[in-house]
Parts: sequence; structure tokens; C-alpha cells
Amino acid sequence: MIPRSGTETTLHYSKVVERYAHLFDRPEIRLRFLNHTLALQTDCTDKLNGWLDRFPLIKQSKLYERHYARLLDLLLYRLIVREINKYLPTSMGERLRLLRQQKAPVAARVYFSFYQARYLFHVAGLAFVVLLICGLCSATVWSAHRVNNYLASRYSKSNPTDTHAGSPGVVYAQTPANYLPDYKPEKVWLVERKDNFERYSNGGRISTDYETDNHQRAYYVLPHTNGAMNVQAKPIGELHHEPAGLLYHTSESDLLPFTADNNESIETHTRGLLEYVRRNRSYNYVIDRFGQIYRIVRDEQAANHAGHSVWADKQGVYVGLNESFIGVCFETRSDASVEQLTEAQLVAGRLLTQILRSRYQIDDADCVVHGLVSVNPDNMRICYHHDWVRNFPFAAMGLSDKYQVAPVAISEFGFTYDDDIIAQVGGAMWPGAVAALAEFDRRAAAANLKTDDLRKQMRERYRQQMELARKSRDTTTDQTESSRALDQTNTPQG
Amino acid sequence: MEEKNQMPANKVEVPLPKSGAVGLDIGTSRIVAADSSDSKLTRTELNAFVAVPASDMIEQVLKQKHMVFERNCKNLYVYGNDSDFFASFMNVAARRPMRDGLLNPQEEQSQHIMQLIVQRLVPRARRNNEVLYFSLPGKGEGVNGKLVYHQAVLKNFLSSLGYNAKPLNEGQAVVFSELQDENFTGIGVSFGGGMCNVSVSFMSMPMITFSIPKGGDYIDRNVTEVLGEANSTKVRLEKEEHLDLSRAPKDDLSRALHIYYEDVLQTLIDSLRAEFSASSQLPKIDRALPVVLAGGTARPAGFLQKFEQMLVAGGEFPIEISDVRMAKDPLTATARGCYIAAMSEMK
Ligand SMILES: Nc1ncnc2c1ncn2[C@@H]1O[C@H](COP(=O)(O)OP(=O)(O)O)[C@@H](O)[C@H]1O
Ligand SMILES: [Mg+2]
Repeated sequence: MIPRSGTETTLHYSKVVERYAHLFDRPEIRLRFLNHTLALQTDCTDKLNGWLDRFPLIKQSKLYERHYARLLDLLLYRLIVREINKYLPTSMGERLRLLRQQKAPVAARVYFSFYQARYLFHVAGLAFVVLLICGLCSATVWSAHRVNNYLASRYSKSNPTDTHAGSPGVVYAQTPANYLPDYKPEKVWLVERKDNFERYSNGGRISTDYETDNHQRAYYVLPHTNGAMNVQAKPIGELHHEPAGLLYHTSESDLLPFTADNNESIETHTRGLLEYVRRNRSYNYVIDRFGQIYRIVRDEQAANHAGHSVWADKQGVYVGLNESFIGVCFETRSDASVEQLTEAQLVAGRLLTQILRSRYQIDDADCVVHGLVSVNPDNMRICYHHDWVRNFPFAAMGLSDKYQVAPVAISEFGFTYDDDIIAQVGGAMWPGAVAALAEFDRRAAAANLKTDDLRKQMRERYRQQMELARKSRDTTTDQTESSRALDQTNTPQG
Repeated sequence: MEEKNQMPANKVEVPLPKSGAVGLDIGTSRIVAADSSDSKLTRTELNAFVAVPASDMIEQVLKQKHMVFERNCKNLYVYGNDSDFFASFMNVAARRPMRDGLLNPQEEQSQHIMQLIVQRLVPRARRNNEVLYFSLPGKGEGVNGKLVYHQAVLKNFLSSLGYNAKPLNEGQAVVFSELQDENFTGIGVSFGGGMCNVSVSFMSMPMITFSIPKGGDYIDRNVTEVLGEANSTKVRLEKEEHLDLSRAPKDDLSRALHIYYEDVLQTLIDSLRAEFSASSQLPKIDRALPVVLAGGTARPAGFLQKFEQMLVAGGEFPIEISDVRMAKDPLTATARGCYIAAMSEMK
């Protein structure tokens, strides 16, 4: 909180501020409004006083006596309008509706109507100060109160239930609820496709300059064990070919300080990364530090991003996520000390997430990060790779927090972690991992088995499933290999 | 966003903060973390520990029971929520890293243990400058000098976890969580284990803050002493489970509890009067103020009525009181208030 002095003056201002406070439903926003406005006002007052102290003449003039308080009020209203505009919905119509609903004082509404003319308002305020200082005008001083009252009376004369646009000074709500700030598009569609990029309805732009081919996706969805270890590891349904989820990675490439003078070197680094990724077919997408999205391996094809990995949703278990999940790589490092993602990457990541989720109907539950799915079947430990094992901004991507979800590797297949892993992930496991370990114990207890015995059984089962996944992959790899050979002469698809 | 876990609902032990703002109530008895204003989503750890000489056998047992502990070359420390169970299991009294609202100077392990407990509730910050408000007692008898140290140690430690850590008066936190409709104008009182904290707030600004060095522990300690009990556990359990301040006491124990409860309340009300008369810089408050009561010690049946009675019994109050009410969830009010303060600073 900002420390503040002069509680007496505050009482007066607080009354004004209070009239607007109830516009803010959320406690923290109301607190911030009250706190900010009053603190800033006290600040302004102090500054003005300090300044006036240097001009004793002004202070002695009658003009000063008469208008000092009004000048302060004017400042206050300016602050209030500014603060209100920061926190209320962005659409003008919405705000007015809110104001009317909440029976805000007429003055508040009028101030809103006039917010568009705020620069004029500021200029007027400034002019007022100038006039005051020069002492040129003593008869017709423009004051906040007069404008306030004048407009207020005028506004209240017009019919308040009249919702037609075009009434003087008032913009009414015409925008449907769809366009409110929190609106999330259900469906994102391709707006245009050019030679080297695609543009989507949510503003996302995908560069196809580095696009390349790999083998077609092919994977089985495997059943949950549901605590009983004798469930047959027979897959649910047929071989699938569509992406089932999104998996986020870090490139772990070198990062230059993100400043304007490094501009070209940053781009050079990115090009190096993109070429490497294309050569190795490492990911389906790369998002560079300027927020440009590049498609590398086409969506319907598997990229080599996940290695040994496992994840699950309500339908079932996915083993070997190269085949089933789309790999999205951010150009950044896990140990990036200052900021891991640039603002541009956050935005681009969110847009790409929307595009892919919309196109393939991907569930929130299937959008996860590499570190949470990566396993090492040799020693049955999790976190073989640990990119994004913490700090991934799920919320910013419009996703729920997967650090809270118990990884199936631990809870069903009996993978574990050790002190080394704990140290590598920063000293503490994410909550889901901890919960999953307990869950596995619970299962063992329910099955009347020692945890270690169940662990042995489940590891065996995991190996079977890995084998199954390998087979499904091999068949399709062969197919695509041959079909690609046939396609060699065709132009690459767009 | 819908959340579709692939697992049956899991009890998650140490959720990460969700919004980038955290409130932390660091009390003598319990530490409470809030990263949402919903009281169901707060997390609590007992601010206590049990130390036993290190032995492999005990360590095995602790591991089997999934207890939270730490081992150094000499001792095993069971801390946080498990300390209660382990203390009764070992038939010893749990120890406290804090005493009377501040770090306990008599416990050499106090800082280290508190850090372990706090880390269970709030792991590292995920981003730079994540704001965390932690509760701090107000000035008062026997507190003043130590407060500076207490605050600096906590701030230091929380900053090392990556938070932009700031202190918030505990009474003020109660105001933030409970008096939104009054535009954060009113009196917040937190009746804790180690002390009671009061803040008189006007439009979100603390005008008067102070603490008294009496609380639940004071009641336990004195009742135990006057009744000649061996330890305070029995007294505390009776107090927490059966005490009803609206009924006349039936036995010695409840009589003694009544007496010390009244003592705590009287001290608090007297101090409040005294602070009002002493403070010269108060604005003329133009309205009646609500009083909100929170904290573990405020939980017995009849507490609210008792407070009201005693307030009235003392004659005219220096300011007008509109009503006295209980916090929605007295045990988490401070943490939630800290969270609101932290949220209010989010960009
Ligand atoms: N139901 C209850 N009835 C009476 N006292 C209680 C009850 N629950 C907790 N307490 C007491 O409240 C105190 C702890 O309150 P709390 O707000 O957690 O304190 P602190 O802020 O000091 O950690 C302890 O003295 C405890 O005995
Ligand atoms: Mg407390």
C-alpha cells in the first residue's frame, strides 16, 4: 500500500471517491481504486501545494481562496475517471450499462460520456491552471463543478431509459455480449492461405517457410488400469491418426539479451534453430522470440519431440506422444533467469493453442508440457526431460493448470522420482506428482499388494504398451515412407 | 476453462498459486496461505514442530506414514500439520517457532522450521515480482523492538523464494477480506493464538493499528496454571471443543476459561478506547463503524455476544459502532485479506 499523509483532506476526497467505489464488484479492484485514487490525490495535492508555496502572491490572492478547492476537485475527478476507465469493461457501451445498472451518480455517467473528449478535458484543466496562475480571469472561471452540474441537469432531463444511439454525448451499448473482453471464440478458422503463411480468424499467423514432412501419425488409445492390474492392455478402438493433444517444449537454444540492438543476432539465432528443427523434424511448431509462429512438421504427421512419454485423459492413456500430440516449441531456455517467454511469445502461444484446439477439438486436459510427460523406462523414473516442469503459463494459454494433475506415469504405471530429480526440478515436485505418488500407494493398498509388487506389475504393463505403440508406429512409418517415395514428384502440399 | 483431470479427484497437497498473487497469514498457531478469495481454497499448516533424536528406525516409520520431516545430523524434525499427531504419538508437546505473535527467540531452530513450513504452502514464485502480502502484528506491549526483526527475517526469506513480499497489518487484512461493502471502513480484529490485532480502517487506510499480547495461548497457559494441570493440552481441547461463552460456567475449568476470555476481551476493548482517545490525527469519521471479529480464539459459541456485551458495558464508546459481526470464515480471514491486498497490486 502507498503510505499517505494528511488524513483530514482525505476525508473530503474520500466522499467523492466513495460514490464511485461501488462500481467495482471485485474486492481487490475496489481496494485498488480507493487506494490509488486517494493516494494519487494526496500526492497531487502535496505537489500543488509545494509549487504554490513558491508563489506566495498567488496564495494571497482572492482568486486562490475561491478556487483552490475546486482545482483540487477537478484533479480528483480526473483521477477517478482515469482509474475507472482502467478497470471497467473496455467497451464503452458496456460501461455505461454498468453505470446505469448500478445507479451510479449522474455525474459519473456524464463523466463517462465525456471520457472520449478526455484530452479536451485535460487541456481545459490545464487552461484553468494557467488562468488561475495569471490571475487574468476572475469572473467566469471554468470549474469542474459547474460543468458537472450543467451536464448533470442536462442529462437527467433526457429520458434515461431511452436507449437509442445518437443521443447527445452518450454512446449506448449495441455490441452483443459476444464481444465482451472475456469472450473466447469457440471456433477459429483459416482466413487466408498465401504461399508462405496462413492467417486465422483469431489473428494468429503461421509461417510455412520451414514446413516439412515426416511420417503419418498412428497411435492407439489404451485403457486406464482403474486399479486392477489384470485389465488387458488391449487398445480402445482403431488406430488413430489425428492429433489428440498439445505438448509444449523449450528449445534450450542460446538466448541473446532481448534488446533492440540485438535485433539481427536474435533473428540469426532463430534461423539457426529453425533449420536445425526442420532437419531433425523435432517439433510441429516453433514460436520464436518475436512471437512468429512457424510450422515445421505438418499437423497430421508425427514430429520427434516427446521421446518416451505418457499422458492420459478421460478416454484413455497415450504412450509415446510423438504420434499422438502436436509438439509446440518456444524458443527459450528452462534456466532463462529474467523472463522465460517474451510478451509476444505468450500471445502467439495462446493464439496457436486456440487454432489447434479448435481445428482438432483438443480437450484442455490434453494440453500439457514435456516435463510432465517425459519418462525414462530404463530406470522407471519420471522427468527424463524437464522442460516446463515448472513456470509454464497455462492460464495465459487459456488452459487449466496441469501442475495440479496427477501424472498417469506415476499414479498408474508406478514411475517414481528421486532426490536428483527433485533437485533438477528446483527443489520441490509439482503438486500433481506428489498426489500421484500417494494415489499409487492407495491403489496398492486397495489391491492388497505391496507398493513395490504393484510397481513391478505396472512397469511390465508399461513395457507392453510401449511395444504396442512401437508396432503401430512401425506399420505406418513403412506406409508413409513408401507413399512419400511415390509423392516425390508431386508438388508439396500447402 | 473446464478442467478435465484424467484422474479421479485427487487431493493435492501443495497447489501452486494460481493468480500470481498470494496472501500469507503467519500466525503463532497456524500459517494460512490464500491464492484466491474463496475460503475453501486456502491452505493451512500448523506452525509447530517436534524434534526427536535422529534414528533410522523412526525415520523409517515416518517415511512409511508419509509424514513431513527433515533430518539433520542430530535430530529428526516433524513439522507442520503432522506435528500434532506425532507429538501425541511420542507423548511430547509440540514446539512452536513463534511465540506471542513473533519469532520465538528461545527456539534456535525457529527460523529454519518456519521456512520449511512456509515452503510447503507457498513454493517458489513462478514469475518475477509475484506479489505476496504477509500478515504482521501491530505495535503493542512487548512487541515494538522485536517486530522490526520479525518483519525483516520474513521479508528476506519470502523474497528469497522469488516473491515481491510486503507486510500487511493483520487487523487491516481482516478489514480487506470482510468490509468490502463498507469500502474498507471499519474495525478489524483478529483474535489469534499468540496475540490479538486491531486495525481501524478508513477507506482502506489504516488509521489506528495495535496489538495486545494476549490471545488463545494466554488463556490456555493461565487456566492450566490456576487449575494446576500438568499441561495445557486438556485445557486447549476443552476450550476448542466445548466452551460456550453464552452459558454460565458449570465447572472449574469452564469458569476459568470464562474468566480469562473476559480478561482478553477487556484488555482489547480498553486498549481500543485508549487508542481512540490518544490519536489526534484521526479524521472526523462521519459514520458508524462496523466491527469484524476473526481468528481462532473468536470461534467459541457466544463469543460475538460476549464481545458486544462488554463493549456496551464499558459505557459510551469514543466512536459510534454500527454493528459487530463475525468474519465469514474466521480462520482464513487474515490470509484472504492479504490475498486481496496482493491482487490489488497486480498489473
Ligand atoms: N473452536 C475453537 N474454539 C476456541 N478456540 C479455538 C478454536 N479453534 C482454535 N482456537 C484457538 O485459536 C488459537 C489459534 O487461532 P489462530 O487464528 O489460528 O491463531 P494465530 O493467528 O496465532 O495462528 C489457538 O489458541 C486455538 O486454541
Ligand atoms: Mg492469525
